[in-house]
Amino acid sequence: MNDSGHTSLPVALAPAETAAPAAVEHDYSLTAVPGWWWQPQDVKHLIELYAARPIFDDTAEWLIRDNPYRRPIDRQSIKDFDFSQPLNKSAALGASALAAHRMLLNIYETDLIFLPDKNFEAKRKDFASYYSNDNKLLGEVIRPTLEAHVFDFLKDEINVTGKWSLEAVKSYLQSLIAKHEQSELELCTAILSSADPQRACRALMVQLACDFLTEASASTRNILGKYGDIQSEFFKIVIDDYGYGVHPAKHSTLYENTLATCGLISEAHAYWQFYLSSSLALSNYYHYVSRDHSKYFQAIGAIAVAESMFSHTCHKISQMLHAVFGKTVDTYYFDEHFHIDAHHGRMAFEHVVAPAIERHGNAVIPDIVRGMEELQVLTSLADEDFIAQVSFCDEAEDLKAAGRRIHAQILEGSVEKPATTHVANRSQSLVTRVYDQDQLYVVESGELDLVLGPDQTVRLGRGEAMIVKRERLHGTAVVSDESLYSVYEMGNER
Amino acid sequence: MQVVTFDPQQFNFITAGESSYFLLRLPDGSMVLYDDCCDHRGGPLHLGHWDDTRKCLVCPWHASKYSEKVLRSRAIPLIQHSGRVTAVLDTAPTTQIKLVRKTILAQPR
Repeated sequence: MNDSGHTSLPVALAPAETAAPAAVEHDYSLTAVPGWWWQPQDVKHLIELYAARPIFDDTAEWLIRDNPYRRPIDRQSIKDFDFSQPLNKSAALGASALAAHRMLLNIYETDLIFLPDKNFEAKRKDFASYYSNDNKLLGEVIRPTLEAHVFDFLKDEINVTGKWSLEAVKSYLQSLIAKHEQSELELCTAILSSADPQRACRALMVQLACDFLTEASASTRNILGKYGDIQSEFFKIVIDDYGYGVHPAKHSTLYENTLATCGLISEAHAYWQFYLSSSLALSNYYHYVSRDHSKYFQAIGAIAVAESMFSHTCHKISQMLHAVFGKTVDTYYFDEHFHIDAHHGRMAFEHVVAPAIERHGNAVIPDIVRGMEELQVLTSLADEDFIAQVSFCDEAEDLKAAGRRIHAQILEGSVEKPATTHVANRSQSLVTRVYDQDQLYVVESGELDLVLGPDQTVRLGRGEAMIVKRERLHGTAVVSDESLYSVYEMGNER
Repeated sequence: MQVVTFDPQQFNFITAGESSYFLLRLPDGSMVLYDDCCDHRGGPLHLGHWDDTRKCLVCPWHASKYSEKVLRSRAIPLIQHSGRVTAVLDTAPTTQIKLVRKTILAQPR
């Protein structure tokens, strides 16, 4: 008996010939995506509307304390971006990618529950707005355009051909693991050789917080439904991540402890302003392939490779944390993953990927291999992005000196660069951004802070200057009653 | 099995023991790594030609034809990624593998 009160049998067993006359064929798939109902210019307008929602407005502080619904997008810049075309890989860390990824994570995470630790009543309006139908529906309409903008380059980047077998996939995965386990992590090398290893290490913990504080949330999208014993095997991996319902054992709780002993805040998205585009991309990718169930096989490929490689990654990060912070840092999150992900890698392949291939045929393999590859492309991009940001932060004084030199050349007329001049009062609203070209900031009067990370600010006084490299995340804040400053577009010469 | 990664600009032909494979870029830009030995009488397929009208590879010996669909479905497992390719060869771990650059006459223009 179904819930309607009617018996379902006559309907379910009705022979085809007694069914309603064949309807006129419609290609409904066309009506559900932008391009049919929604022309690119309409979607752009909707994206601007989405970014203009008050909860996504700039914030008064760089750190967003205990309010998981406040997630700045930088609505002032949105109008300048063309989201209608896919980015290529070389633009994947650019300004429009950062905005698109911020919006996508906002959209995806309306499916998750976030509650503040304290004082819910004061945040109730934001809570209601974030989970409102308006927010969710608007997000749904713009989501495919944003996904295509930031993820379609993966289709060109990767091609899987040939006659694959389960054995070939296994050999390929083993070769990836063997290569990874022989490698020193470039991330760790960059942190250890940084001018300020503790700052660089905290920067990494901030990037990882984007995903680790909601660990496995995207994967939970694949544990519902009905698809046999593979579903139950997948579920085992997820419940490990959730600590079997024991809160102190939940992996996100372990990560909160690591953050605390590194001197960082563990509230969800407190560091929203400081997430790099590539860190958001990694979190978003899991949602992208797990939310759209036609990408299920990509999702399990990505998860198999992630689980298989994460053990070694965690081992190296744990060693690096001890080298940087000594014995006081809590590395249990990483030590636990060093242990359990050796199992999860095996479980993901032997109990999820392999049975999926055996049951559903070799035709699913290209999707599985694509998922493995796509995750690696995004992980490499995230490593490059993070290392470049560490290098940028380390070079701040050099970039000030270079800025002074170039500004002198501009003043004497030997160099010409387009500039915009700003007169601003003390900053009340803050947002971080990246630019697609190098920028030169020059302060004519007053004081301007260039914020390079949650614990690094470069203050520029009158006559001081600094270059901000393209694709490097930073924020600006006028810290005097008024400031006159110029921003020169330097192009991309190195 | 052996997994080999290489730059397709530098190498386009693999020998693995007694077997050999050639890299072919199909008209849509995707690549396949295919057994160089024709099913019919063992002709060297990389010296065949591409029939643009029929969209197929033609063996240089007896004109056996291999459609794009056949090439894709029977090729060696291959991944193109970031300008490189990775092939999974069904050979013993001890089999010696050599990467070579050859003129692939069968390459679609």
